[in-house]
Amino acid sequence: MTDAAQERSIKLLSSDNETFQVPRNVIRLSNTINTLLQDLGLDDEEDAGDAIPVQNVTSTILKKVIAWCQHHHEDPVAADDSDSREKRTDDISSWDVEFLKVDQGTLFELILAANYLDIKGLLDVSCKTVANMIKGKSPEEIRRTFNIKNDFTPEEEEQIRKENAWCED
Amino acid sequence: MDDEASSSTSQFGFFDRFPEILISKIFDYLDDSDAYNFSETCHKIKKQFLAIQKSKKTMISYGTWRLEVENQNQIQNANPNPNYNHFQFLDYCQTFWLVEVFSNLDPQDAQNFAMTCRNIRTHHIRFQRENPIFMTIDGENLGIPIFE
Repeated sequence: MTDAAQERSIKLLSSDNETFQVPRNVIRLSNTINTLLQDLGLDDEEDAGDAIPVQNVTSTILKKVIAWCQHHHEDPVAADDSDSREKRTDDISSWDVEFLKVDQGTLFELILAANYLDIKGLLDVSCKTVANMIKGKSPEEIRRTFNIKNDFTPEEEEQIRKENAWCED
Repeated sequence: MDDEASSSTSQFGFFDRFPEILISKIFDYLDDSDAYNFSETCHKIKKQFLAIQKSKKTMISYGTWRLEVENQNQIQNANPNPNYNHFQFLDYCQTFWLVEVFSNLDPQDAQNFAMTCRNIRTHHIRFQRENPIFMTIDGENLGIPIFE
């Protein structure tokens, strides 16, 4: 990406038809948008023209996604996340903790949007937040937290409990 | 997000429409104990958990294991090596998988398997405690567990 491309803005169109003007160097955190602009040969254009439709993402969520990218666009690029590396959940920045203090519906939509737009940092931190809500809880407590319907039969539940008790020995 | 925030949306089924690939990502951040608890919540999450284990080769079917042991025995017989450990393969297996092994063996085979190494013997003893065979006389259960 050239310096000129970094300075310009991109227009994004939410699923409910709201347009957002976003600096190119902010939305660079989205691999989906990067690929799209590169594939269409628009990355070095002075004016990218029409707004890019971001299907499946509402204006409320897109606004939050852009706010997250705005805050993190100067972060150093994270090292490759190999499977062998320990996956920590206690390294969420205080800004992100505050940012993700939202209702579950919003958190769910943010995860889907981060996945769709391929914004690795946002996807990681939102999944870590969900993991932190699971940690240290019993299955019943997890069900209550996320309103999960228990669809196991009592026999299946007993069997699973036995298997897992064995594992934890 | 704290539990107070989450309880305010208790009618929202967070994982109802959650993509399976992203459930795997949540599991990435959970240790064994939390992962098992999470997997016990419903079929959808349990299914994803089993798929992850399978892909990571931490859970191997009994049939696959038998085939592997037979292959290793053939190699051992063809190239005897006193340092070769037949049961290195078991390093791949999670402890709970041994339950499936013992569940599929008759008492004599289970006994033979248990005699192969200290680790497996320990698990066999635990398995017997969990699944005792009771002493009987003429088919009548005397309620006395049989341990070796």
